[in-house]
Amino acid sequence: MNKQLLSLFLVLILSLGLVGCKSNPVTPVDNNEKVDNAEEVKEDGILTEITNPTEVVFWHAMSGSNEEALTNLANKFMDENPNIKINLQFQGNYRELFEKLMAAAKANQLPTMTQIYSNRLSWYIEKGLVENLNPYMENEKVGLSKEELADYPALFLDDGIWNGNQYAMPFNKSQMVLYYNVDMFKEAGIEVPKTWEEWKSAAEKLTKDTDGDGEPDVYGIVFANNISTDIAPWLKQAGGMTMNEDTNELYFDTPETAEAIEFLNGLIQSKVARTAGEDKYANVPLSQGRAAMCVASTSAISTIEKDTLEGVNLFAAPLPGHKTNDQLYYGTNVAVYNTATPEEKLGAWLFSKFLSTPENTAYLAQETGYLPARYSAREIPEYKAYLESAPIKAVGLESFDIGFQGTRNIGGINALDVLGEELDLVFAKEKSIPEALKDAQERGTRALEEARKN
Amino acid sequence: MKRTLQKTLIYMILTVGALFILIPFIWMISTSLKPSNEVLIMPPKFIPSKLIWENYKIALEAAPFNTYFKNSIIVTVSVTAGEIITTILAAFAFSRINFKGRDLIFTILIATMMVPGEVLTIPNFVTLSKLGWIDSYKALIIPWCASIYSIYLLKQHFMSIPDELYNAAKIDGCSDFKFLWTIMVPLAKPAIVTLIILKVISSWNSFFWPLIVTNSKEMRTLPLALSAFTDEFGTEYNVLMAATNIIVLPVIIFYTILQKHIISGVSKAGIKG
Amino acid sequence: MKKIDKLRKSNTFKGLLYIFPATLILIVFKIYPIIKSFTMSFYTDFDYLSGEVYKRGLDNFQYVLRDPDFYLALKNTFYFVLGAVPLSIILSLGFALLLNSNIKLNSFFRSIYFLPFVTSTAALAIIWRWIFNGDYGLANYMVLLLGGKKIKWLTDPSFTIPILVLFNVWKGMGYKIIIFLAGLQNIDKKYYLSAKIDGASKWNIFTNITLPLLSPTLFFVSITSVIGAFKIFDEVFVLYNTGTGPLKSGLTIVYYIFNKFYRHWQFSISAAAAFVLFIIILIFTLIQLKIGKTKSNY
Repeated sequence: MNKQLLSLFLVLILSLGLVGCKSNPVTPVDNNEKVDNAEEVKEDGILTEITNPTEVVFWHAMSGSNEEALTNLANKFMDENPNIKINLQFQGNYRELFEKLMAAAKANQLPTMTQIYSNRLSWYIEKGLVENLNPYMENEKVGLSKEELADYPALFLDDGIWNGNQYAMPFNKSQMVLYYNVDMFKEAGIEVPKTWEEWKSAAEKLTKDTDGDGEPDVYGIVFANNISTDIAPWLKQAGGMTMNEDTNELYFDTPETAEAIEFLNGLIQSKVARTAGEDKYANVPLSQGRAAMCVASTSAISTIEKDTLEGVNLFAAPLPGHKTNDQLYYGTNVAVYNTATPEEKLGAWLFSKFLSTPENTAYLAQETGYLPARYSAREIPEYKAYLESAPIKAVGLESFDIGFQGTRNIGGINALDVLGEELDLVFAKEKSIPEALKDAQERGTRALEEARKN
Repeated sequence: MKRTLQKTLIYMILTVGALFILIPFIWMISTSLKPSNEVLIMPPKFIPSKLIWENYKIALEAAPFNTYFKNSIIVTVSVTAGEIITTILAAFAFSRINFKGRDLIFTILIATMMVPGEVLTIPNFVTLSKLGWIDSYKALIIPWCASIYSIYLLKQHFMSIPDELYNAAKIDGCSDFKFLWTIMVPLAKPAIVTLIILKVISSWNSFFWPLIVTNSKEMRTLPLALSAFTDEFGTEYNVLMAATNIIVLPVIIFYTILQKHIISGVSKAGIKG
Repeated sequence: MKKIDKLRKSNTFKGLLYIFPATLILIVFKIYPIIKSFTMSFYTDFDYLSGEVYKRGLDNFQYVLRDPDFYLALKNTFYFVLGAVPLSIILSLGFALLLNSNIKLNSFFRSIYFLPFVTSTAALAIIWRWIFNGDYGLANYMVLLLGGKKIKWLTDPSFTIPILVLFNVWKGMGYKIIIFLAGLQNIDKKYYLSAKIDGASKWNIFTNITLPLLSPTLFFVSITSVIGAFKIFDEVFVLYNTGTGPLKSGLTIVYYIFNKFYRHWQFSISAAAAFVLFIIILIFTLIQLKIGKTKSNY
C-alpha cells in the first residue's frame, strides 16, 4: 500500500510540477523601458528614433520563393538598421494566418506587424487594435515626402485608409486579368476582347467540342470557383457595385448586378464558359490547352508558367470592359498593431515603408510575380530589363489608374459568400436570377448585421 | 480440398482489398517523380515521361528538415510516453477501483469527445499563452498527454481480464500498483501496442496544432514543411508528394516493426485461469 | 460497517489519485474550453476579444435552429453517419478476422491496410480527386470499360455523401482493423478449442464465441465511430478544395461550425451550433449505451 501510494505521489508531483509552470510570469513588455521612452515620445505620440535594440515580429503567409524574397529584404533592412531585428514568422496560408491572428488577439499576443487583407483588417480597426500610421507618415524625420506619397498608386494607399487614417501600407499586389491562349486566337483570326460583347463572341468562337459529346473539350472561358468573392469588377463595369462601405448597404438586388449576372450566367448556360470546378484553379485548363481564356490573378503567372504544357503560348490582358472599364486589384497590406511598444511600432513602420520603396517593391515584384506598389518602380533598371524579358509581367502595371480594390465592410465576406451560394443555384439552373438576387440581398443584409454583433 | 479453396478465397479478398489501397499510393509515388507540367495533365499519366528525382531534393531543401525532424521525434516520443502512462493509470482506476463518482467522472470525460476540437483551439491558445507556453515543447506536448479515447479503449481491455485474477493477487498481498504493472499491463499488451501505434501516427502527422502554438522555425514539426509547397494559386503536387513520402516513411517502418506485437502478445500472455 | 466505509474512502482517494494526471490535463485542455465555448453560445451582443458581454439570451440557438443551412448540414451529416458507421465496422471486422486467421503474408497485408491511416488526409484527398475526376479519372475509365456512362463523381451533389463515406471508410479501415485485432487477442484460445472439439461450425463459433467475447471492443468501436462520424469535417474540407461540395452537398455540422467561426467570425453562433451538436451526439450515445446494456455487460 505504502509503496504504491509513494509511486502515485511521484506521478502526482510530476504533474503538479508541470502545472507549477503556471506561476511563470507571462513575460510582460519591459515596462521600465516604456516609461523611459515616454519622455522622448512627442506630442503626436510616436517615437522617431530607435536607440535600443528592438525586435519587430512580422507574421506572414509567404512560402517558397516568396518567403525567400521577403527574407532577403528583411536582411537588407537589418543591415541598414542594425538596431532593429525583423523576426519573420511564417504562419501558414492566409486562412491559417488569419485564424492565428484571431487566437493571438484573444490572448493578447499579437505580433508587432502582420500581412493582412483589408477586408479582414477592418474588424481589428474597429476593435481599436491597429496603429494609425498617419503620425509616422507625416513626420519629417521618418515619414514620406509629398513626392513619395504621390508615387504610390492611389488605389493601393486607399486600400489602407479608414476614416482618413492610414492603417496599412501596400505590400503584395496583383490584378485580376484575362489570360489567353495566343495561338488559339491567332488561328481563329480574332483580336483579344476589349468589351463584354467581343468577349462573348470570342468565347463562342473558341469553344470546341471535338468529340461531339455535347461537352466542350475546349472551353472559351474558365472562371474561378468562388466567383462571388471577386465579382466586383463585373458589377462595377455594369455601373453598379457590391456594397457601400459607409452605409453598409448591399447592392445585390439591383438592375446593374442583374445585368452582370445575366452576362456571366449567359456564358455559362451556353457552355462557352465554366467555373474551374474539378480543376480547382481557373488557370489549370488553360495551361493544358483545354480552355482558350481564363480569369486569374497576375501573381499566378509563375505557377501558370510552371504548369503550362510545351507548345502552349499564353499571354494576359486587362479584363474586357462594359459601361466602364474598372479593373480589380487585390492583395494584402502590412499593418502594425498598437499593442506593441513605441519602439517596436516605429521599427514596424520603418519596415513597412522599406518594403514599398521603389527599389524594394521592384525587387519583390521581380522575384515573386506580384506587382510593384510604386509608379517609379518600373524605372529601376533591373526591373525594367526584367519586364522586357518577361512582357507578360508588365500587363498588371497598365491599369493602376482605372483600378480599384475590393470593399472592406465587416461581414462583407459573409455577404459575398451568400451571393456565391445563390449564384451556384443560378448556374445549376435551380433558381432564376431575380429570385436568387432577391434572396442574396435579404440573406446578405442579415449576414452583414450579424457580423457586427461581436 | 475445402481448406485450400478457403485459403485461396481469403487471399483473393485480401489482395483485392490491398489493390484498392495500393493504387493511390503508387500514384503518390509516381506523382512525386513527375515534371511539373505532367502533374495535373488530363488525361492523367500514370508513368512520368522522365523521372525527376530532384523533386525529393527540392522537398528536402524547402524547410529546415533536420530541426523539424528532431522536433517531431521529441514531441512524438514524449506525447506517446505521457499518454500511455496517464492512460494506464486512469484505465486501471476506471476498470478496477470502485470509488465514489467513478461513473460520473467517466461519463463526463466521454462527453468531451462529443465536442468538435475546432471550437477549442482558441480557448486553448489563450490558456497556453497565460501559462507562457506558446512556442515551446510544453505547448506541443502536454495538452496531448491524455486522451479519453485511449482511456476508454484500454478500460474495455482491462475489464475483460477476469476478476479472479485480481482477487487472487489481492489475497496474495499484491498491491494494486504492482498488480497493474506486472499483470494487467502485460496482459493488455496488444491494446497498449495499438495505443502506441495510434498515438505515434496522430502525433507525427499533426499539423494544425503545431502551427497554432509555435511561431519560430526552431519549434516546428515535420508536417509544417508541407505548407511550403502550396500558395494561393496552386500546389506543387510533385514536390508535395515527395515531401509527404519522406515524412510518412518513418511511420510506416515503425508500424511494420511494431504491429507484430499486437498479435504476438497473445501467445506469451495467454490467460491462465 | 466502519471498516467498509474506511475502505471506500481509501478507495476513493486511491481512485482519484490514479485518474489525476489524465483528468487534470483533460480538465484544462478539454473541459475548461468546452465550458468557455458553451457559455459563449448564450452571448448575443459582446466583444469577443475583451470578453465583455453586453447582452445574453437564446438568440444564437434561435438563429441556428432556424437556419436552413444548419438543417441541411444535419441532413448531410445523418446520411454520412448512417452510411459510414455500419460499413466501416462490418468491413474492418471482416478484414480483421481474415488477418487474424493463420495465413502467410499476414503482417504484409496488415501493413498495407494500415497505409491510408498513416498518410496525411490532404495528400490522399489529392489522389482521390484524380481518381474520381469526371472527365479523366480512373473510376470513370473503369465505368467506361464496363460499358457505363461517365459519372460526375465530384460535381454531382447526389454523389457527395457516398464519396465521403467511401473515402472515410477507406482511410479509417486500417485503424479500426488494428483495434479489432487487438480485441481478438483478448479472446482465450481455449474457447475455440473446446468449440472445435464439440464440432461447432465456423458461423456458430463466430456468433457464439467471437462476437460475445469481442463485444467490449465492438461496443467501443461503435460508440467512438458514431461520435467520430458525427464530427466529420477534414475529409470534406480537403476533398472539396476547402469548399462544401457542389451546392453545399458536403456541408456537415462541424463544417457549419467551422465556417461560422473561422470564416464568418460569428463566434457565438458557432458555439451554439457546437452545443446543439453535442446534445445530438449525447442522445445517440445514450441510446447506444442503453442497447449495449441490454445486450452485454458493457
